[in-house]
Formats: sequence, C-alpha cells, structure tokens
Amino acid sequence: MRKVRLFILLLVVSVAWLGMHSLALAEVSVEAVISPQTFSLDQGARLSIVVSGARKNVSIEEPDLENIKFHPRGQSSQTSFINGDVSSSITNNYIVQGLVAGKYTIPPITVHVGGKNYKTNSISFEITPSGTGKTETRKGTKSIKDIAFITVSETGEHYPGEIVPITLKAYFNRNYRVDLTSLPALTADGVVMPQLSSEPEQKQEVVGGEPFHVLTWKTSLSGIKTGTHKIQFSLDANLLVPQQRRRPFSQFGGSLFDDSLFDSFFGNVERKPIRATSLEHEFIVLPLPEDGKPAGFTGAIGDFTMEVTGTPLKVEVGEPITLTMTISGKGNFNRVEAPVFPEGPAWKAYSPTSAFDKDNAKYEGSKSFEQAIVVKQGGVNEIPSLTFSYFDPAKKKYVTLRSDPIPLQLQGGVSSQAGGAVAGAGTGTGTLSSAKVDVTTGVGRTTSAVEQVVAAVNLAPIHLETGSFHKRIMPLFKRGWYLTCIALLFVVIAGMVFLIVRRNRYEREPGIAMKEQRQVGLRSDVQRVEDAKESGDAALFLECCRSAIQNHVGGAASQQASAMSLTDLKHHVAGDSPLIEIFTRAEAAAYGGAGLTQDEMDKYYRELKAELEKIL
Amino acid sequence: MRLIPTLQILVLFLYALVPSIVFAGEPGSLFAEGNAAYSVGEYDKAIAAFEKITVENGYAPSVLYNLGNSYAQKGMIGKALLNYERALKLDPSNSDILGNLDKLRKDAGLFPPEMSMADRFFSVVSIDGWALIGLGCVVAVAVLLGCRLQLNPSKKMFGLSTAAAIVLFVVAVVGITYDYKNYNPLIVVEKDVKLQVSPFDGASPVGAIAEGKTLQPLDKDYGEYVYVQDGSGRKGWLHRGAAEAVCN
Repeated sequence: MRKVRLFILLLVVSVAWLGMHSLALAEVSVEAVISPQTFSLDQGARLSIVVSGARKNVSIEEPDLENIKFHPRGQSSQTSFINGDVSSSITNNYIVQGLVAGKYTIPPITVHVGGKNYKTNSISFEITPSGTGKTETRKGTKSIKDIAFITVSETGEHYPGEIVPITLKAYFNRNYRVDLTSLPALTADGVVMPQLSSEPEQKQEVVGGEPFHVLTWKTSLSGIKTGTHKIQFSLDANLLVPQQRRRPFSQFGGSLFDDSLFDSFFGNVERKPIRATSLEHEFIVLPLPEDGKPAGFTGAIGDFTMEVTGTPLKVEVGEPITLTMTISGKGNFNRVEAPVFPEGPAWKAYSPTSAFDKDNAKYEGSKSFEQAIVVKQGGVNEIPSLTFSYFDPAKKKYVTLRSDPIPLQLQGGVSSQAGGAVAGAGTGTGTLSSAKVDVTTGVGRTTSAVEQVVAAVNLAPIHLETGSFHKRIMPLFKRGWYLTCIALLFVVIAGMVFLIVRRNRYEREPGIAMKEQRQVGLRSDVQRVEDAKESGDAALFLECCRSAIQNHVGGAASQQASAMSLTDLKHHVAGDSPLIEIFTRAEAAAYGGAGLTQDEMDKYYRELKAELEKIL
Repeated sequence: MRLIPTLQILVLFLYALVPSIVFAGEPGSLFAEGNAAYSVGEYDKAIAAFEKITVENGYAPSVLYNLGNSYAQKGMIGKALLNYERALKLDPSNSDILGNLDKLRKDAGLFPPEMSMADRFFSVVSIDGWALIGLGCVVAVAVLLGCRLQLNPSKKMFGLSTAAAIVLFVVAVVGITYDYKNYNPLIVVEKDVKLQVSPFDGASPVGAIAEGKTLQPLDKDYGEYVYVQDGSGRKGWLHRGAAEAVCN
C-alpha cells in the first residue's frame, strides 16, 4: 500500500511539472487596446496592454507621446482552463489623458517577456475639444446639443446705432443636471449687446419629445458699423454626472468612470464642463441714407414724439424761463439730444440737463431736457418753435418734429440795456474824516467809502448787560401772547356788544323780555307734559296740562295762573278750543281719577302745544 | 391769611425768575469775554464770542449791538449794519443802536432814499409801536363797552370815544401792514456786489450795490439768486451769499 501511494504522488508531481513547463514554453503574444477611441480633452480613455502566454517576468516600456499623458493603473493577471488547455495572460492598464485636441497614434509598444522583446500593434485615437464631443453618461453617449442649446429670435436689416430687440432662449434637458457658470455671451464683430440680467424668465418646454428647462432673456442688439456680421451666442455650464460606485478591477474590466482619476471633488457627482451654443446668424447693418438727412440729426433712430412746455409764461426781461422738452417713444435714447434752442439778440439759452425715464426696456420711455432761457430785450411775445430729427427704420426715412411757438407775456422789468449803466459804489459818496483805503480792494474803485475802515471813535460804547433773549426776531403782532390777548379781547367785545344790543332792544320793546320769559316758561311746561306722557302716568299728564294752560292762558290774560278756572278759560279762548276739553278732563281727573290711553295723551299733547304756542 | 397768597405770588415770581438767572450765567460770562476782547481791540475774538452767544441762546439786543460795534471796528460795514438792524427790531427805541446805525450809514455813504408821505407817516411809529397802539385801541373799546354796560354813559360820548378808538385801530392795522412789507430786508454783507439782469453766473450787471445797502426781496428766486429792489427802485437778481436777511 505504501508503495502505491508513493507512485501516485510521483505521477502527479510529474504531470504538474510537465504542465507548468508546457505553459512556460507556450507562445507569447502582446496586444494594445484603447477604449474609447474618441474622447474629449476633459475626458480620458483606458489603454490596456495584454500579454498572453506569460505569467511573470513581464515589463513594458511606457509609450511617450507629445501632448498625451499615460497614467499607470496597475497590473492584473488571468489564468483560464478551457477544454483541458491552460492559458494565462497579464494585463497592464493605463489612463490616457490628452492635453491638446487632435488625432494621435501610439506606436507599437515594446514588451519584455522572459528575456525576449515583443511589440504591440499601433493604436490610433482622436481627442476632441472640451464639451464638443460626445459625453459618456449613464444613459449612454449624448451630443451636447441634446443636453443644452441656445436659440435667438430673427434679426434682419438694421441701421448703425439702431436698438434691435431680440429674445435669447437657453434650453437645458431636464433629464440632466446642469449648473450654469456664465450668462450667454455674444460672439460678433461690429454688433454689441447690453449686459444681460442674472434673473431671466424661466419656464418648461417640450422639444422633440424631451422636457427642457428654458431660460429667456429679452435684450437688444445694436450694430456699430455697417456690413453683414456673423453673430453667435454661447454659454458655459457644468454637467453633473453621478459617480458610479468603485469596483475592483476584474477580468471583465470596469467603466472608465470607476477610475480614481475622475473622482468628483465633491463626492458622488462629477462636474463635466460643457458649452451650449446657438446657430450662427447674420446681422446686417445698412448705412443711413445721406439724402434728406436734416442738419440737426444727431443719430437718433426709432419712433419718437416731442412735447415742449415753458414756465413761467408771464415774465420780465431777464427773468429765467424753464423750458422742458420731452422726447418719448422707442429707440436709441443714448443718441437723443436736446433740441437746439435758437439763440439770437432776443434770447439767451443755458446748458440743458436731461433725465431718462424708461418704461419696461432700455429702448422705450421718455427723455426730458430742462433748459433755462432768458429774454434779453422787450418786444418778444413767444418762445420760438423747436425741432427734433430722427430716422424711422420702419419708414426708412428721416422725420423732423416741430413744436408750436409758445405765447409769452412780457412785463416791464430789468432790461439788459441797463447793464451798461454800472453805478458807482452805493448811492452816495460820503467820506470819513479819518478814513483809509483798504488796499486789498481799493484799486479802481471810486470813493469806495464802503471799503474804508470805519474808525469807530464816534460810535456809542458797547453795552454791559445782555438783556433778554429771543429765539427769533419777529414783529410784536406775530407773537403768541399778543395774538392771544387780541383774540380774547375780541371775544369779550363781541359778548359785550351782544349784551348791549340786547339791552337796547329790551328798552325799545319792553314786551320782548316778557315774551322771551314766557317762551322759556312754555318750553319748560311743555317738556314736563311730554315727560309725563312718556312715563304713561295719565293723572300726572293731566295735572301738567292743567298747570301749563293756567300758566300761559293766565299769563296772557294777566291773570294769576293758579286762580284760573274752567270758566275763566272759556272766556279767554274760543269755544271749540281743545284746551277746554283738556282742562275739563284734567279737573275731572283731579277729583275722580284719570283714565287716558296713550293715544289720547299723544293727541292732547299735540293739541296743547299747538294752542299754547298760538297764544304766545 | 393775606400773607399766604402774597407768599404764593412771591414764590411763583421767583420760579419765573430762576430760569433767567440760570440763563444769564453762561451767556453772561461769554458776553463779558466778548466785551473784554472788544475793549483791548481784539475784535475777531469779540465777534466770535458774540456770535456764539447768538447761536446758542438766541437774539438779545445788547449782544447784537455789541456785535455790530465789533464788526464796525473791523470795517465790515454790512455785518455791522445787519446786526444793528437786528438789535433795533428787538429794542426799537434804543438810542445807542439808532445813533450808531445812523452814524455808520452816513460814514459809509449809505444815505436813505427819499421818503414818501406815507413812508414818513408810518415811520413815526415802529411796527411794534403800531401793534401796541392797536392793542391799546382794542382794550379801550372793551373798556368803553364795559362802561356802557355798567355805567351807561352818554351816548354821544360813548359813540365818539368808540369811533376814535376804532379809527385808531384801523390806522394801526394799516401801519402794521405798511411797515411789514419792508420788515425783513436784506443787507448786503459782501464787497463788490452787483445786481444782475439774470440769475446766472456771468449775467450782465444792472449795477453795483454797496456793502451795507438795504434791499427788499421781491418774492422771486431762482437757484442761488433772489430778485430784489433797492431804495432807488432798481431791480435785479442778487446772489444769496451776498446779502443776509435781518430776520432769520
């Protein structure tokens, strides 16, 4: 048994040794593969050098290519058993990074295996500029234009300086995450665009079945020189590509993006710079026609109106008038200048100031000019007409606006003719007995008494007490206490005048006082009757009625009120007077109780009041 | 019992006096400083002290008068006359102020323009004088009416007295109105000042205006210029910096 085991062991070892030897003597081949064969500057490719038929002692001479960098990424080996045949290979991996776009060819790479040299095949590949090439994404290879692009509204023929409104739209595929790094920029010669807003209008659109996020800018272009100009817009952005999970290099290979060379700085997202562009457009700038160009044309192009006003319009010679000229409409307001005021012997004009009030865009609104003008001599009765010229691109012709003359009323005042009559210093030529000329201003002045230092020898001496202080210098009649006194006195005077007039009236008509007294009494009695009526107490009501009748009928008849009876009443009033009925009911109630309804009380109240007022 | 009300009145009087006593402390010392500087000929220092009092405490006739004297000593006629005029507003009957004002004007050749009849009449009394006359007339009418109510004097006497008081009141009102339109003139405080045809730098001159001259503003202004009239009737535009108003 022992011998059999020993024999089997020897047999196995021999077979193994023979196998290994046979492997060692298998044919060696080398191959170089690059993937992908086209990539952009901001991407990379993997170069794999596969040495088949070798398991060790392999060394590779790294290729050296201008503008290309090779970054080693380690070695892997593989052994396979297929149908009893054993094969093995070693793979060396590199990351290929391009520095300059272009087409390249890696020459055959020398591989040393077991003391012998082998050469790989040559490899050709192409490196494209950044962002223009195809982009590897999780969804497969996509063109930049599928991810982002720009559109521009149509432009046609225009004139130098003309403001041409356009709409810029930047489209971004919503299936991709994009981070803007710049605003759209214009590439053009001879055409300018103002600064774009950093807050464009945003909305969603579907283009070609794909949803897009759209940023819209309403802006304008302006040609600064004649000719046909090519214009194109572009903007820079970052495409955010989620980073795949790192896997160890396996016999099945790994994705380009597994490589640590492209690790995102920020973790799991990779930023790939891209550039979105528009198609190239033509912007034609025609020269302004020379025929018919007005003399006062300053370059304004658009569609304008003009309004001219002046204030004040009743002035004296020399008094300034503010002339306001307003140019409204749309166009290149930066070339709109103030209409020139026609100066002459009668007018003097000063430099105008301007203010621009834009509506919703820089090329629409109104520009106002304020200018001071002065009438220099009499005989002027209107502010002359002003003109403003512009070029209308729609009509393709020059337009001159003319304002109507503004009527002016000139009053007497300072005349410029008086400018020559320069008076001497002051109105007098008094001199001081001890005067001396102030040499700093005395030259050329005549008897400049004002310049002479006043020797104050004859001035009254200074005071030694301050006196009372006042916050303001104002006349006495404006001071608070004065006005208060006057007001109070007037109130007192009014009151006394009233009393005097009343007294005089009483003296002239003695009955008036008595009548007034009776009026007061009547009001009081009627009020008591009303109160009794409101309270619903019939007995009290009738008692008050009787008292009122006695007071007023008795008073009118100069009879003692309390002594007046029904019989007396019948003598003093008409037979059908309701006072009799009321008085009768009141007397009956005094002895036998009262039974009045509310309606009856209301009726008696009205009748009593009317009758007693008649008597009064 | 009578003593208590008297004491109360006295206490109230003292309370009223205290602010003026305290008030007089600080400006008082500055005033003394100004006077001391004036007396030794340091007019700049005196001017600074008096101006400071005015800025911090308001206007007092004697402070303004002393300030006027200081400016006069320095030969600054316009400023001197301005401060005399201000002092006169507060103390119209002060003979020192009137005297120095008159003297300085004469010495500077600033003779007042000829006065019309109305000017002469209404200048007999100052504007404050007319105000007091008016107040007096109103008080008189009130008293007369009170007498009429209580004492019942003769109608003729009452009527005449009241009519006289009313007439005088009306004259006083007219006097106030007449004087008020010239109450706040401008005094030219700069040298080499010119009236201009238009309110713009470099405009043609109407004529020169002497320092210290009194001008009346005409309720028109434009930018830094104001439209004025001088005593001889000349009108023109004056730069604001060249003159100061008597009443601020």
